[in-house]
Amino acid sequence: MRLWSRVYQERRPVIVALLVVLVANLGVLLLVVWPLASSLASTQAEALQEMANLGLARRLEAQAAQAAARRREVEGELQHFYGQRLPRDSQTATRTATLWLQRAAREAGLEFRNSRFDTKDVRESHLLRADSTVTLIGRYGDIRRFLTEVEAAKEFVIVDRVELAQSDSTQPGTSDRIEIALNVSTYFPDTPTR
Amino acid sequence: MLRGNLSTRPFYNERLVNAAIGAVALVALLLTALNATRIVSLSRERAAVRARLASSRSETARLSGHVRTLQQGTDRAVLARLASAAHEANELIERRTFSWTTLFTRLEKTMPLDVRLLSVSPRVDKDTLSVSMTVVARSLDDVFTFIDALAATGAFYDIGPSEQTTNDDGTYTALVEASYLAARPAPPADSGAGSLSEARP
Repeated sequence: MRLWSRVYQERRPVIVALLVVLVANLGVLLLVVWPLASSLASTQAEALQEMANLGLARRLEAQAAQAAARRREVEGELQHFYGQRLPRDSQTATRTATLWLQRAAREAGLEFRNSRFDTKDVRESHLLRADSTVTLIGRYGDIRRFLTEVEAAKEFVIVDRVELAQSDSTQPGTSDRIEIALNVSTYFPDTPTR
Repeated sequence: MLRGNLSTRPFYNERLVNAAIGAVALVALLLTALNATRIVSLSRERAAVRARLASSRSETARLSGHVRTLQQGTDRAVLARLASAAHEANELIERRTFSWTTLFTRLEKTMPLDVRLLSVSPRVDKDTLSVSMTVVARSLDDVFTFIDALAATGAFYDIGPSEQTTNDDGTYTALVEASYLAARPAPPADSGAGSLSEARP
């Protein structure tokens, strides 16, 4: 019997046990540790991708929240504009475009000659337009004062056109009486607000 | 000389064999410990990463749901309607805040003595403010003197007489159109001045 065979025969339980342990360790390394490490690497890559997705979702959420806040802000401003600035209904608009203008003209020293009033739809809008053509007579300085008062008034009146009728002298700055035709307009919601 | 060994169980170096077996046993032990440590640490790390992954997914799903909820109230049609309404309101405010006082002051300073103003009307078109003026003048030279004076103020540009008519009395009626840089006056209290924010779809 050769020496190696004799050593093996004499210590077989120990040697076999050691071989089994070594093979088992190799098996664990190949079948458990490496697949586990590989699985961890892919999970980490997945987690990184998910972190990127989360960052994108956070940005989208911030943008959507900003858009929603902007929408609320614009809606609030529009509501304020329609409800507080414009005449609230047809009657108020009529009064603004006729009675209020006549009173303002009288207070500015102008003489009221005549007026014409009309209401029109505004295309692609829920606002209606109230037009008024007012003819006044007075001195140039009074006309200037009247226009300044209309500009500063809280009523939402837009002066669209000013026509100065011919007279002996309508040169701006002179003190002669002249005739002035104003096209004014105001707007109001088609459904009354407030 | 006899060199053969006639012993049935000759001695060998048992210490060397025991040392070798001990060394192999030590390697096996270290390998086992290493594997066990790696398995435990990898498992823990994987569990932690999976927990982070699940948390991220959950948070992403929550945020996506929130985004959908927010977007339901701000879809393109709603934003387009708001943008249109805001644009309309801003245009009305622009027209409302037009200063006739400033315009007349400028016209008084620029209009020659032989030119008479018949009508004036401002117009807001694509964010540009234009002013149309109908004037009567003794001669076309007076009309162009007026146009030059308007240009010299710096408040009017792209000025030109778009229509000219000779009247029976020898005077000229001209329609002068100009783009106008209106100095925005301080908004009067409660006059509806001040532009609205624009909503963009």
